[in-house]
Amino acid sequence: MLLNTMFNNPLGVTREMDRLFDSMMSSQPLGFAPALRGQWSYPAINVWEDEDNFVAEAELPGMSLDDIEVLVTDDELTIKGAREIAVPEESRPLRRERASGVFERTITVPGPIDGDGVEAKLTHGVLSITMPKAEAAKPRRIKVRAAKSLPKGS
Amino acid sequence: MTAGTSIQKTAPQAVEVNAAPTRRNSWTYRPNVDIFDAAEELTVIADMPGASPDSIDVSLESGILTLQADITTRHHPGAQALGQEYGIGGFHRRFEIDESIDAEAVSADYRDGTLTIHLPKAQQARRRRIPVST
Repeated sequence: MLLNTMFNNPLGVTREMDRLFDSMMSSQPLGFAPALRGQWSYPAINVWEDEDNFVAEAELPGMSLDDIEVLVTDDELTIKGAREIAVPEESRPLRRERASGVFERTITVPGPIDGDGVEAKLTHGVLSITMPKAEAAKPRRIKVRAAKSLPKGS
Repeated sequence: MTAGTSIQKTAPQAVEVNAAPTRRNSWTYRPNVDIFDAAEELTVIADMPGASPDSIDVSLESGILTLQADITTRHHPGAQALGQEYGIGGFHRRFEIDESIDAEAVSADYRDGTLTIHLPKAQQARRRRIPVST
């Protein structure tokens, strides 16, 4: 996936807009559909939600947090960055599968995000972004109380 | 698909060995790999994001370099998946190294989800520069 994207266009920008919510509605797994311009999306992203948060994860091996920018606006998450591959000095490549270049990807989550509470961490090449749902987007639990039975009138 | 082992020849020094991985639990993925050949050593670099460092296993036996790693599944209790673009599982890959390697001096390190293996060439395999006297 990564290879096709970056190798055809080593210095180019991979940019796409992905309506996550729409894709979710189709039964097609997201990662197997080519993105815009016939390219594959990079990075691949997994997204979950629970009552309080949207959580997105992307595999970005060989990168540090300085190489990655995470932007959140309303209901959109953008991950962008650049990946450089260090080549050992005076060597010749026997195999090149790891791609380098600039990438940018935006996904839409099904609800507004509380931008102030967003947290991103990078562990062993996995970027994990926790995005608290804005108050308005949280499911509200309405307490249902048993109605007092009315005194029987006669 | 043919059964058994098939060898895909791509470069004289490092040939991939395609064999069914001997793992039983969950999915196993092929990491993306770069291999560089320098005068002193071969360098193998594999992307293995999310691996637990303790589970990474690198071995060089009878000229076969094996890299593998287990992944601690990242569970999100009570969460509902909205989109899954990649699977999470262990990594496994093997290469036949057609080059004399100084097995004692092989080293590997894992950083930021990337595994780098240094395979120093045995002394006799290094390309020697012969000075030409005039």
